[in-house]
Amino acid sequence: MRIHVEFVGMVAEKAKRKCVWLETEVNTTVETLFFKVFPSFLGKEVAETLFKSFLNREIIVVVNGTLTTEFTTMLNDGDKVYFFPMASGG
Amino acid sequence: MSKRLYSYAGKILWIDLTANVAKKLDTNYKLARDLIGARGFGAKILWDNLKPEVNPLTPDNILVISIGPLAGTTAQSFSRFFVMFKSPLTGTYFRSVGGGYFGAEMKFAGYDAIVVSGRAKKPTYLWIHDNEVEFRDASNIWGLLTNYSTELLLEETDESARLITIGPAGEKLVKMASIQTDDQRSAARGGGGTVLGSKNLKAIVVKGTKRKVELFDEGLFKETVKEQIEKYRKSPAFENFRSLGTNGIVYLFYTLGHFPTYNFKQLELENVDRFKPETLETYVVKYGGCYGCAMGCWQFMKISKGPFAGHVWDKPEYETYWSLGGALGITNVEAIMYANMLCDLYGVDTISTGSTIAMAYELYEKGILTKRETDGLELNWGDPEPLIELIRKIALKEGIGRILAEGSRKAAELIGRGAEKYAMHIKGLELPAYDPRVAKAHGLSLATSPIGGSHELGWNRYELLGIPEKIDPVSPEGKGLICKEAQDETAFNEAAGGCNFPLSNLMNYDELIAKLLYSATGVGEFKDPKYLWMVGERIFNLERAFNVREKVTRKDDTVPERILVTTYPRTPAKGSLFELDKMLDEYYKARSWDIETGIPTRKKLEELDLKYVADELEQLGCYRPRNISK
Repeated sequence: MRIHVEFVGMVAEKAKRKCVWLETEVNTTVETLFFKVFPSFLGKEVAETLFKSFLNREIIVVVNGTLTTEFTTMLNDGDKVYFFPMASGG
Repeated sequence: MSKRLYSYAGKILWIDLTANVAKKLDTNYKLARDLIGARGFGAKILWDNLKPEVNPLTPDNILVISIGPLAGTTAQSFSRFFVMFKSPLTGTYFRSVGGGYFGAEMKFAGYDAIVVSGRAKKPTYLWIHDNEVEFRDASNIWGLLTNYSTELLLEETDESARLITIGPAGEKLVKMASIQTDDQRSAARGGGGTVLGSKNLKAIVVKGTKRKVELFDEGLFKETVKEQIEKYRKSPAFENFRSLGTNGIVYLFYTLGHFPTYNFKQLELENVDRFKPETLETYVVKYGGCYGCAMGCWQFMKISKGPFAGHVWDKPEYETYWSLGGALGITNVEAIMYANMLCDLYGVDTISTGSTIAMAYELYEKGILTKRETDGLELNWGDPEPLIELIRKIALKEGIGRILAEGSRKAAELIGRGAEKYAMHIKGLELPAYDPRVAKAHGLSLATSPIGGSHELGWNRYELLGIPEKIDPVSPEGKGLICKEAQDETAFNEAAGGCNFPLSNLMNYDELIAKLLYSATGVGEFKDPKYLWMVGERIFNLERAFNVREKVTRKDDTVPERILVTTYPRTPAKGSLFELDKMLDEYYKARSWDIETGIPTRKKLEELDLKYVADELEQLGCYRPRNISK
């Protein structure tokens, strides 16, 4: 299946990417993205940094417009996954 | 009550503009203990001194500018100034807030609050330097844009003084006129600038020399501030806030579906990529921050191209990218920056101004407003030129601007022909950039806010960003209590004079605020975070009671019809409505208010040591018979 991944702001700087369509296996979760998918195109080190940032709530993950805090969130074909730097206020 | 208060300035300055009299009264220990300061002081002073149903634009209205006990200290993000008054836009209690350096300067001059009443015979400004209070002629600055009046006022007084001023819009009694500070910040919402204009008061300039604030326990205070700064630096949001402020959430909140577009008609926006943080940060040329705030979330932007190129101004905030942008289908960042600057110069609130203009755009689209009525302007979605012209027309009350200057509720009434349906306000205050259907506790807070459609009095971090833990934002279940808690927490934070940004990220929190307040003031009760929560609830109830006195009841705690009857069109709330009645029942229950009327019960008010408030509500006949015996 294909999912659309977008890195925003400081996360894009870390990932050195902005947008990418990724071919993934079915049953891909947010966790699999960090551990299996990202290392192959971002490099292991960057993937680990991003994962650590997710754990520390430095990164906000949004799947199809929904805030996601669970590793186990299942992704589906055509999903749009965004990685934002933590921000607040308004 | 003769106990000593540390860290407070010690005086409240009462200004009677009609009589040209300045009176200084001691800051009372009981007042400080019961309401902490800032927003708490404002709510209490208004309750005690304003009679119900006073016309907000008469000399009888009172405007309170107050700070918290931590202002001017090294406590981080606690030097804001709060402005409370009866709003000409809503007819209710109002609290507006501004950052910058004015709050700290008030402290250094020796004042916890400045209470302004009456009306000056001619344009006037106040020059307050320590104990001296001068009523000065403002005829030469009347009519000037805020940047020019600032420049002249500082020349006439002291270049290192701090000030608040109104622009031409406030002088002309535009209902959404703001109060601007010398450093391009504003206390913008609700028409505080209009109230000052009605009093012929152009500005208040303050300079203080008592720059060392005496603390109760300096050691503990220093240690707590150190802890606070460490917490700031460790926060995931800290660096992002420093680099982009609320510009960092524009694209995020759009993605999360909070950013309504085209006057709340939809949630999609063409070219929204222009609001991505990596794009917005390219305009930043300078950084800054409020007094005593390590977060420093000011960014000044330079308009780099197009017809407005060259201007450098404080950036538009998240809300302004919406009100002068997305709400009108506009994504031209340079035009939004310019429109934002115009609002500051004329002295109008960007949210209410943009939202009222968005209503006009929609009325034009629907054929309710014709080109003849818009002074020949074609109000086409996405076109910033009419926006810029309308800001000027509103501020100077020219042509169609004369009607729009009344704010969306009144303007829609004046236009008629069904225009009311397109006025996106709550209690007369234009809604901010949040769709109530996709974050229900947050939406409920908008509906029940004592100042109308404001996001500031109960920003719900659980729903909006999952901090500290995520709750389902779309479900209406359990939202009454969550909404109440966010409102009470905000109230005590603001009574302490605090900024809500660090609160929303848990950089500041109840235990830390309790330690700061206690070590600074020596008021024993402040040691206990539970006491602070109770004070927050007390303030919120006092504000509600003020509004009950103004005939506000459950019927007013609502959202615009469009939100109530139209389902949300996309994830994560596709098909969802705003379940107002269900959530209101739960909310009033959580607040121990009368479920049918939304009026605080005598029992609740007495629990909060507000018996005198219950007595007055009873005297005014606000209680239904069954409550009288309680």
